[in-house]
Amino acid sequence: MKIIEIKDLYKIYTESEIPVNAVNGIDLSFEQGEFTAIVGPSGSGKTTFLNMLGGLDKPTKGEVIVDGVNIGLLNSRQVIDFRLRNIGFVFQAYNLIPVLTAKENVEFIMQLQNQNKNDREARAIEMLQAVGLGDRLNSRPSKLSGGQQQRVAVARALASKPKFILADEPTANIDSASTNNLLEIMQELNKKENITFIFSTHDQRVVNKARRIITIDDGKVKSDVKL
Amino acid sequence: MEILKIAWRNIWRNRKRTLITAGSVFFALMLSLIMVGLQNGTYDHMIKTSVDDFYGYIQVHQKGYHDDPTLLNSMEFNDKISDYLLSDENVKELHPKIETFSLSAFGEKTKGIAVIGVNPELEFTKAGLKNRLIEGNFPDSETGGLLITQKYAEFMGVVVGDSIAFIGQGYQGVSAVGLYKVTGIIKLPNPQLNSGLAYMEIKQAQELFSMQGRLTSVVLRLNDNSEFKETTERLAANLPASYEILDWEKEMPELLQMIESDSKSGQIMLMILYIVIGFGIFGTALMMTAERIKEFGVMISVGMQKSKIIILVSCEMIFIALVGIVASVLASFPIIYYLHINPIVFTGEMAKTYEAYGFEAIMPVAWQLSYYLKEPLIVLIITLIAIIYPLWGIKNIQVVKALKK
Repeated sequence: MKIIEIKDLYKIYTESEIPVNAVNGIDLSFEQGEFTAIVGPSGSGKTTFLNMLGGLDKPTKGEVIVDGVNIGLLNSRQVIDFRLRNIGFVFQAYNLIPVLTAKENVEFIMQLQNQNKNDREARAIEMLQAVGLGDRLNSRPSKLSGGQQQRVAVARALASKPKFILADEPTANIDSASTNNLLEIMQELNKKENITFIFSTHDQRVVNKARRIITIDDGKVKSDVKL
Repeated sequence: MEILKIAWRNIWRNRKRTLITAGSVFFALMLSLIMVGLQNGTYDHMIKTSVDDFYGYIQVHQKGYHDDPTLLNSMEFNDKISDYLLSDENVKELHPKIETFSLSAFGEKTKGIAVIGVNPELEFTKAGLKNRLIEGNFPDSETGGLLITQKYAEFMGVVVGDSIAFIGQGYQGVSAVGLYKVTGIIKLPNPQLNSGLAYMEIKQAQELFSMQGRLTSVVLRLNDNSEFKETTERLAANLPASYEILDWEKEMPELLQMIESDSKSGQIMLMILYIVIGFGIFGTALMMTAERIKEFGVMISVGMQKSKIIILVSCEMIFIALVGIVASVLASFPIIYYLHINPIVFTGEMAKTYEAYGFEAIMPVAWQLSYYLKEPLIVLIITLIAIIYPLWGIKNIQVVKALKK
């Protein structure tokens, strides 16, 4: 089942004297449960593409349709609410809320969704146990390693049961052992919860685990390989 | 609840900055509270010694007496007008008075003084006069007598038991001459009054000044002095045209003007303190938002509305201000209470200056909660104003740019 459709997508930056076509006409679609890596050299347009996919940036032209909703047409409040209910984010720099514990960080988005306290707590504990951090529920981010923080970020992204997760270079700041561990966890959750994962990455280990690899260069899809 | 919890934890992320900002609120508010206490305490003391103890909050006269306070403008005061005044719920008692001037003489010395005829049972039972007797006894309705002020007694060389002669002009130009025995000496806080005033029983005064049945004024004693304006307005509505009713602000406009002009200079000082607080909070709010743009970008990315982030940062700034306010109130009140119990007493030139203006040379501090509610509230309002611009910045955050920070 298609959950994302991208039609004739462009993003042109006009701040400088010479306009830059960061995304230059992309047509793609993503099925429910995909585990996809988007690769390409630096400056190829991966992050811009991902930003538009997540509704963080507005396309200059084209459409991003998620579950039948053209998110480019939503106003700023609606698009934030749409992200809250449909999209999970995993960032390169983890970006946990420093004053909240691991459990509170995972609960945070569910609280924004107005889920009740008992459900939130149960789901947060379940997700942290799933990423192997059941014993660090009450640790603040500063007390966790980079790999552990990224696992909390994954648990946070998954806890609210989004339709898909966008992960921008999720393994860039963590060591090999943590990378392998994180990828295994994400693969398992992908299978278990049937959640779509879309990564932008330079990391070959992520690419090796992906079941679909999209290569972007100069803002265009150069190849789209399903394994 | 979560927002409050996150806000509270956030303010302690940079403990030093929070303490410095709260500290600026603490010191500025403490200064302003003490200043407000000193100002209001001084004004209250001025009003108490001049109005409460002496003139009264409201007076009724014959029409025209206020502009031309002579015995010719004295009034006949009958039961009808008395009943009307007492019918007001805020009027407790009526104190009849005769106020005039006379030349006094004792031995080789003479001095012009104010002579006030009063009802001793009403006038001398008031705390303001009762506690100021330093020698002898108050005159009473049975035996009469004279109550004089301390500086006047010293000037004339009079002691209790001596008799003072009065030579003056009574009602309609009749000569007013009499000899009265001093029964007591009082010390009044108002230096001008303390140097030339004599109280006598009202019937004696009426006899001396040929004013049988007449009064110059009636002072209205109130149940609630703070309601003096409303009471004056109510009574003025149906007062017979031959009378005038004036509150102390109209009776003593110079005192009111003095309080108002002094209050203005205090307000300028307070304004300076509040500007300091405002900029301290503004700077902190600006830093707290500027350094967390990426964090806010992440929050917006994961689905937090900007309005909630604005509420979060507002709570953080209000918490910092509250830390300063609470600490300041806790530290200021013992100081204010101490100064209330032990007023600052001026000596030397400062004391002379106060006395030259007719006031006792002390600076008491008010101990009345209502005076101190406004200042913390103003600090909170300043906090809310100071964070408008930083919050505006949050409203305009562009997520993609914020995430790149």
